[in-house]
Amino acid sequence: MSSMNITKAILMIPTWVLILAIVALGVVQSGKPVNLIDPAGFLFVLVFGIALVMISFPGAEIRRALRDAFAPPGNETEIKSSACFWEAAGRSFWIAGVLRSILNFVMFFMSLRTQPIAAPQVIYKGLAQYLLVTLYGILLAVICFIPCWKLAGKLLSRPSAPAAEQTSMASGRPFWRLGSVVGYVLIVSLWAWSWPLHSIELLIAIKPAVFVVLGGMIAMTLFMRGSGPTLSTSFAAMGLIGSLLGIIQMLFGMTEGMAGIPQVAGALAFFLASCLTALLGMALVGAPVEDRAIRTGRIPSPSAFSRAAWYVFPLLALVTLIPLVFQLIQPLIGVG
Amino acid sequence: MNHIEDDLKAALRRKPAPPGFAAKVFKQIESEALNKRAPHYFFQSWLGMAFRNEILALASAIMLVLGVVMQLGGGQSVLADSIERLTIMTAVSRSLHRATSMDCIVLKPGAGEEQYRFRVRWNAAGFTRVDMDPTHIPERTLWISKGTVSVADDEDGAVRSTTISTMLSKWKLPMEFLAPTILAQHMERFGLRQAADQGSAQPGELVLVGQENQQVVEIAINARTALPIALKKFLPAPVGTGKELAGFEEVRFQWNKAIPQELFIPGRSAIKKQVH
Repeated sequence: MSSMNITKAILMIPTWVLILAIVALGVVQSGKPVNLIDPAGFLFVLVFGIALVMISFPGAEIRRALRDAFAPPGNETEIKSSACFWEAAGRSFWIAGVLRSILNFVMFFMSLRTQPIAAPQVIYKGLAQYLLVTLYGILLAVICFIPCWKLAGKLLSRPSAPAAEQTSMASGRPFWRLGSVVGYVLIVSLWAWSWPLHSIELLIAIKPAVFVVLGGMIAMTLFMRGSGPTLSTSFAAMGLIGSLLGIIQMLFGMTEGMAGIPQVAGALAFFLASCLTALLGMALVGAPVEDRAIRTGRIPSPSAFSRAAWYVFPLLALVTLIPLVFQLIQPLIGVG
Repeated sequence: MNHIEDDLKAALRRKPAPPGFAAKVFKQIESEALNKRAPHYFFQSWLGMAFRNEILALASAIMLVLGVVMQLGGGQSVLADSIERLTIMTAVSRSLHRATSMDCIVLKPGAGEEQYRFRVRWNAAGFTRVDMDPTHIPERTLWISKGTVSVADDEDGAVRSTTISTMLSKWKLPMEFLAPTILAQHMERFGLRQAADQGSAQPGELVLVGQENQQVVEIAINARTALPIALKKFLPAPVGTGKELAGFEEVRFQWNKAIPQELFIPGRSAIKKQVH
């Protein structure tokens, strides 16, 4: 490293400290900082995101990507691979954050069966905390996207390398590596640890939406066979269709007044279950398959549809869910 | 073989083919041939059969039909049931908090066969008047406001006041019906949902059912305003006896009707002997 680079690096340290101090001040000024702490939620997002990364990437590639984030990267193939890793990591944390938020809403509703409806203030606080995990997901995702953007920028600034360097032959390894198995086991354990009582009950409760989303996804994938990995797109499309079905049913139920409440409830449950199934499908199956296709060189990069599925669908689900849930509980919150 | 085909396709997209590509393809063909002899090849080929297009298409159609039938079939999931409870409670609670007056008659069980009868009237200013059954309790009328209970003496009409926490237990006041907001809080414990059998509902009514301390609670509400019309509590029937639920407590409500203000002034209206 040249002396100029060292001076530049030293000068950057107070700049980063200043930026972090401003961010911390902003957090403190935004309200009670203690309200922004949810260790269980953070742990879930962190572990779920790491597990998803373990499913998609072998240890050697993870180590190389970590090295490339800080040290000067190697050849073009390595930069590409590391950038792909960091994008996948950011995507995993983002999906994990939204997934946990939706799961929190679902588990909140499930808990009402066994305990009295809490005071409005308690419900309000709970809902705010449920959204907090999405914030954690976004923060972790942004942290991962920084090296991704940095590496992508380096890749663009480099002169085009000879074709021999760009190749990435299929490793020939089976999909079920030890890392993948550990990743899936980690997710199942995390799920069971987070909701030991309601996990099985939840799976039974959401089965209509699971059937619709999975059935539709298989049909779509069959229709699109031969056009690359389309699982994520299919899951997102079916999640969207399921959500829309739920919203339409909900609106029809609302026209019936009090008598339509069971229909409204059933429709909201279907909406939640569709979003949940689609997100889980994308995270656990769709994204790893596409990551593997990129790693083995079968496709150069994720398709625009896949990216839309990973980034836009969770956002849509969350943005739609908030007013729907608040529509139900807002009158309770406004009083008392 | 799919791997080899995919790799070939990928390599052909990148022209010219990378050095050593041909050797790698041969190696893969060789390992594929060896794999065919391996025990797990049988499992893989069986898996390949299961993932054939026709089977997948059939599975997809079955799943879609099952999902739609289950959703529209009327069977409610645990999740939907919980959301229904919250929605119902929200609607009822909202109506109760918006009420401007409440007039209800409460029938509560006493010792043995006897029953206590109360008439509770409440107005939006926060005053509550409770007229009690004179056969059981000598003090006929109580006025409650801001945590203070006032009682008018039957003989000289003098008004005595005490805090609600120290009031006499013999009054056995129906505390949960003293104001709509208290009633709403109390109802939150019932876990109300629509009764499957709406046979007992009058036109324009909706019957909700819930539970409190193993007692079955049945509430008829106005389907338009979501305000309670009648509340009944039943004692649980002994298991296996086949007996119907025995009525335990009953309350009938009237909402948002004008109540003369003078009824809420301690002492004054007690002399007029309000009719129950």
